[in-house]
Amino acid sequence: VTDDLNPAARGLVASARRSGRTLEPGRKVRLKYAVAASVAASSAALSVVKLVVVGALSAALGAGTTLLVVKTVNSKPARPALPLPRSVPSAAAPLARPLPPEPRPAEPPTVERPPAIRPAPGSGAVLPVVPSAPAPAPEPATPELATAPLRGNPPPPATSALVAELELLREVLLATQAQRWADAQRALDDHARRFVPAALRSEAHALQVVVWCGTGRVEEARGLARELEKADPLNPAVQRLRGTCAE
Amino acid sequence: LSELNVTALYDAHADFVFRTLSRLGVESSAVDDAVQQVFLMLHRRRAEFRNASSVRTWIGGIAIRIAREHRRGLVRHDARLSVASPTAAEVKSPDDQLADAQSLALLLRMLDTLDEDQRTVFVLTELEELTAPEIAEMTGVSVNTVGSRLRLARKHINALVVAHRRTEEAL
Repeated sequence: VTDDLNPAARGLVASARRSGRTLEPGRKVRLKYAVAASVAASSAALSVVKLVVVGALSAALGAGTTLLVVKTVNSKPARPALPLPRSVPSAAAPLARPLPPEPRPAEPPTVERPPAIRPAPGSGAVLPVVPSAPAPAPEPATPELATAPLRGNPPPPATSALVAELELLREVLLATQAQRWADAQRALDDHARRFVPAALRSEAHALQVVVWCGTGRVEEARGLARELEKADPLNPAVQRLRGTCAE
Repeated sequence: LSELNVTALYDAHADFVFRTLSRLGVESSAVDDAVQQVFLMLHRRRAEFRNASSVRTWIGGIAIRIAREHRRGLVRHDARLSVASPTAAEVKSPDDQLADAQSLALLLRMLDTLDEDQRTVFVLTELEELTAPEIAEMTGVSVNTVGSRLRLARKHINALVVAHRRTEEAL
């Protein structure tokens, strides 16, 4: 091609070419999840895909303004996703009503990749992942959360199950943000009982760490956080635990 | 191309897609969405992939289309510098890397003044170092048209660089 660049322009281009060549590693991983979820959501096999409790928990656990979204393929009304409140339960938070300590057998967790942060725009309607839903009836707390099997990938959950799981974790989230630790624990126990295997295990366990931090069960929180860190180190919800008492 | 392969393609080409979108003028705040859109479209159109094309060329063509949609649909911000602002990592890097980031920022500002088609050819040629036949396939125009657009783009950038130099010297 004729009419080449002049030397000054050539130098500018050569310098510019060296800059910004790659995505930052963390951003690249997050985007990969998003791409994978978008692809899954676009397939006919799934009518609804849960995407992003990860983002919800990231916001709940510390930083970020990630929006919670659930994508419904072929849904019509597109509503803006709702930003989560940003209150941060932590070890420094005043203890509410400490829960009695419960033995939590530690099982080696498996690596579970989080879903996407959000779906690709234009690939379907975007609904809040934090739907307003009646809270499930409270059930007696049990220590089943930590004893739920962590190994193995759960089969793709049905749409209704996903929505129900998201709603329940939303309930946990709101309770932790309000420092209603007993309510949060009850909802977590409910989650452990109802969703085996859970599609959002890592997210639920990350919330459990937060609840334990809030109720003074620091050692248990740290133990579970270590397991999560080992099993699912790239999960943003897990990463956010670094700012809690479990760090 | 299966869903699994889309993930593999992401691993192999995400940086290329990111660069292409950024340098074709997609706002920094929209680049992540645009990257997703590229790979989602790639997935949806996987049946259209012809083995005669290279995967990179095919992906590049999709990225160009997505970038065009973004450029046409977005509300342009005044602070176009934000597109090219050095990342935190680059700011913390040695001087030469910072200089490169500043060069990219300056070049992107110049590219903003280019016609869209010329910009596409310039970016793919000068920054991605693709060949004219590859760009022709990506953009759906002839090699001659690619050459013509590149020539005009280079002429425009040459003039801007000269003007920039003079301005710097005058200050």
